[in-house]
Amino acid sequence: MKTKHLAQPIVFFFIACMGIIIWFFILSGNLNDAASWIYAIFLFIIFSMMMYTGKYSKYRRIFQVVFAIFFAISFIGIMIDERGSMSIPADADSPMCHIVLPILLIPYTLTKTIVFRAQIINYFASVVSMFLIWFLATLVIGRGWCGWVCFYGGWEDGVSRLARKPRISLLSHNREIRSFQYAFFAFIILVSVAAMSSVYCEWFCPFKIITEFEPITDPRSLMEGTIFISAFVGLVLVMPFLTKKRFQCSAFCPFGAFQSLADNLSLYHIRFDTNKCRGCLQCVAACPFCAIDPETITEKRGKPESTCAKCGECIAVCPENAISYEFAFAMKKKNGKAMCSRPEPKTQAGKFVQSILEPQYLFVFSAFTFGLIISSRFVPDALHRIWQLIAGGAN
Amino acid sequence: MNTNNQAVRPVLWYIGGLFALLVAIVGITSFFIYSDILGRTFQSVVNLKVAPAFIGGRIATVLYDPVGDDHGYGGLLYPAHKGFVPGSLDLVRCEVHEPVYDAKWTELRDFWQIDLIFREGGSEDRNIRIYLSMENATIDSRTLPRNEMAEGVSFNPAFPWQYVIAVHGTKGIIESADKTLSFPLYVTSSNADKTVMIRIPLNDRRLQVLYSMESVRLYVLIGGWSPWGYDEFLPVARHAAIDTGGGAVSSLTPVVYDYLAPDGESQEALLSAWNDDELTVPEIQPVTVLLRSAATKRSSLDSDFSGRIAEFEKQFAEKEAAAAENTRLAWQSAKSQRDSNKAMNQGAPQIDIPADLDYATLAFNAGDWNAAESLFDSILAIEPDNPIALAYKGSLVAMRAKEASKLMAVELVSKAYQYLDRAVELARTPTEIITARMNRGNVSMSVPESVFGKSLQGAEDFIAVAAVFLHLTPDPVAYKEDIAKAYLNAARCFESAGKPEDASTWLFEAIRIQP
Repeated sequence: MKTKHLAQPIVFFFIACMGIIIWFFILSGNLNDAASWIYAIFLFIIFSMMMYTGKYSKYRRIFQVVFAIFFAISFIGIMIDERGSMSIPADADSPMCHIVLPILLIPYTLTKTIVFRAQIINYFASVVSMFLIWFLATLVIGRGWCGWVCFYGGWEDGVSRLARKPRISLLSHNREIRSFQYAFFAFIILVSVAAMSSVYCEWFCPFKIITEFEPITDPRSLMEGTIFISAFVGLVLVMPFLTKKRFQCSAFCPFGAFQSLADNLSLYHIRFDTNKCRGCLQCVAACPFCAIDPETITEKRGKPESTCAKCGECIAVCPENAISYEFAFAMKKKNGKAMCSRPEPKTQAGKFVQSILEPQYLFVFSAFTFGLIISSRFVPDALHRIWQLIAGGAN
Repeated sequence: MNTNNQAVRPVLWYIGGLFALLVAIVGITSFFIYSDILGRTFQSVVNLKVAPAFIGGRIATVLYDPVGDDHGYGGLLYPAHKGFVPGSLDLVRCEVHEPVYDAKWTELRDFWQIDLIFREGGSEDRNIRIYLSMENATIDSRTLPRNEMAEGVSFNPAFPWQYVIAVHGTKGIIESADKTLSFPLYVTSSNADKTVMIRIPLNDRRLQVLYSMESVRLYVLIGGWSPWGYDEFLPVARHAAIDTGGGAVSSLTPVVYDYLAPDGESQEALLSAWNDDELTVPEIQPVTVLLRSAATKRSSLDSDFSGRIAEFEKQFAEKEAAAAENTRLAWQSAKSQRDSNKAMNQGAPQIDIPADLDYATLAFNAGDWNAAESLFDSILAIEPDNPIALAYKGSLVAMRAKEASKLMAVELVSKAYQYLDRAVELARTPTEIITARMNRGNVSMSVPESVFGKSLQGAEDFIAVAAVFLHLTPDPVAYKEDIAKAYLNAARCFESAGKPEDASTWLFEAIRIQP
C-alpha cells in the first residue's frame, strides 16, 4: 500500500513523533557532537522517506546495512579500548548478544545460573538488559527483530543485494532450509545443555571475527578460529551473494529459529489478501528469509511461513498490493475466522482514526524505534572512531 | 453476534489498535528510558548469576584480613615514592575457589583460582607470595622462604611448604620447593586494580592432587616490590625513602607489610617475634582453607550476616536513643535562646554562617525537619555552595520522598542527589567531607536499590567517611564508634548491592573495631 492512498497528516504525525524520539535518544545531551547530528539527520531522512514513499524495505535495508557496519566498527573499538585487543582475555566478561539468549534458557532452568561469561547487569550488553530487550521486542515485533533491528543481519542484507540475479536458486528448497534451521537449533540446544555452555558461541558463530574471539593458542582454538572465519566467509558473504537470501539468518541462526517459534506472541504479522493475489510468485523470489513457498501462494494460506522476519520485501514487490502488515488479533485463524477485523469507517473521524491505527505504520514505527535506540550508541561512536582514525592518520 | 468476518467486534479492533499505537509511540521509548530501573527490579526478583565454571569455580573459602594493617609488625611505613599508593599493600580479603576441571570460555581448562582483594589499587607496587603447605606431600618441603634473605620470616615446621606462588603485577609463577616444577600463572587484576585473580594451571599431575584434597594451608604474604630487593621484596629501613620502606627497628624486621594471620593470632605479634640476640626471624603460622563443600563451610560471618547486623545495630540504637533526647533538649534550649536574642535585637538579624550551620544542624539532628530546612534554605540563599548546607538540604529533600507518591518520590530523590552530589564535590575540610558523604550515604542506604541503584555509591561514601575519621582527625581512637558505624553501614550497602563478600569484609571490620 503506497502513501498516496493515505492521509498525509498521518504520515507527518509519525514523522514528527520519530523526530522527537531521534532528538531524545540521539541528540539530547550531544548537541555539540557532529557525529550525533549526522546520524540523527540520517535517521530522520530514512524514516521520512520510508513513510512518505511507502518503500519500507528499501530504506530498512539501507538502515540495517549502515547499522551492521558501524556496529562492528564501534564494537571492535570498544573491545580494544577495554581489553587492548579483540581477543577475549582469560578472565574478562563478554558482552552478550541476542543470539545466545535461547541457548541459555534450558541450562538456566536446570542450574539457576547463566552459562555464559557475561555481566549480569550494569553494562551495555548485560544479561538482564538483553533479556528485557528481547522480551519486549518479541511481544511487539516478534521475528521482525531479524528483519529490522539485528546488527548482524545487515551484512547479509547488503551482500545479498550485490548480485543482480541469484547464482543458486533456493526456491525449491525453502522448506528444507527452514527445517534445517529448526533442526540445527535443536542440536545447538541439546549440545549446549550437555556441555552446560553456549556451544554455538564457542564453535559456530560466524560473527566472531567481527566482534571478539579467543586467542589462538592451541589446536582447539585454532580449529575454532578456522570455523569462525569459514562461517563468516561462507554463510555471511558467499552464500548470500550467490543466493540473494539472508542465508545464515534463514538456515543457521538459532535466535532466528527461536524467534520464529516465539513470533506467535507478537503484535504484528504479514497478511496475504488471497482475493487480490494473482499468483505471480514475485514475493516468493523476493523473500530473503525463505519464508514464502510457491505452495504458500497457490494453496492460499493467507500468510507467510513461520520464519518470516517482516522485512517488507514481499510487500514492495507485490504488483497487486495484496500483502500488508496486520495486527495479530485481526489475522484469520485456521478456521478462517479472525478474533476481530477492521470495521468499515462510516465517518471522516472514523477514517482518520483508522488511518492512524494502520498496522503498517505502527509496525514500521515500532520496528524502526527499536533499531534507532539500539543503534544510538554505536553509530555515532563508530563515526568518532573513523574520524579519529582519519585525523590521526593525517597527523 | 455478527458472523461476517469483515466486521466482527469492531470495538476490539479499535482497542487493540490503540494499544499498538501507545506501545509504538510511548511504550518502547519508556521501556528504554526506564530500562535501568526495570533491569534492577528484574534482577532483584530473579537474582541471576553466572555459572561458577565461567568465573573461576565456586568459592570454597573466604578469609578476611583487617583493614589498615598494612604496617607489617606494626610500624612499617610505605616508601616515599609517589608511585606507591597508600593501601595498595593492604590485603582485606582472600577468596579461595574450588579447583576447576574443564572450565568454559577460557583457554585454561583446568585450574585453581585464588582472588586477593586489596584496599586500594596498585598491582605494580605489590610483591605477593603464597606458600602452599599440603599434608602427605610427596615432594621436598621447606620452612624458610624460597629466598632465605627475602621476607625475613620462617614457617611453622609442622606445616612446611611445598609450592610457592610468586606474583608481581600481572606476572606470576608457581615453583616447587625442590625447584623441579616451575611454570607461569595466569594473573589478572580488576576492580580498579584492587582485585588480583591468580589462576594456577593444574595440568601438572603433581598439582592435580588438589582435586582430591579437602583442605590446604596457605601462608599469604604481601610486600612492596623493588627490583633491587631480595626476591624483589622492597627493603625496609629506619626511615622511608624513595626506594625503601620505613619503620624498621632491626635488621631482622620482616619486609612483609601484610600477612593473613589465622584466627586467634595477631599479625603484629607474629611478625614482631624476631630475636636480635639469637638472630632468629619470626615464625609464622598458616591459614587453613577448605577446598570443598562450598557455601557450607564459609566464614561464619556469611551464615548469619543479617543477625550480626541486627545485633550491631541494636547496640548503636540504644546509644542513639539516649543521645537523641539530649539533642532535643539542646535544640529547645538553643531555639529559646535565639528567640530571646531576636526579641532583644530588634534590628536586622546578624549573619553568622558557622553559627547558623550549627543551629540548623542541631534542628536537623533533633528531628525538627521544617525548621532545619528553612534554616538551611536561608544559608543557601547567602552561600549557595556551602557543602554542609547542601548535604543536609539533600537529605531533607530525600526525606520528603517518603511521604510522596511514587512518581513524585522518584523526582524528589533525583533532586536530593543533585544537592548531595554537589555537596560531595565541594567538600574540602574533614567536617565537610564527613557531612557530605554521610548524608549521601544515608540517603543511598535508605532509597530502594532496585529503583535507584545507589548502594555501591553509598558503600563508598561510608568507607570514605571512615577513612577521614582515621586519617584526617587528630584522635581517631575517639571516633572508634563512628568508624565502626560507617563500616557497618558500608556492609549494609554492599549487602543490598548484591555483594555479600564485600559486605562481610566491612562487617568483619566493624566488629573488629567495636566488638
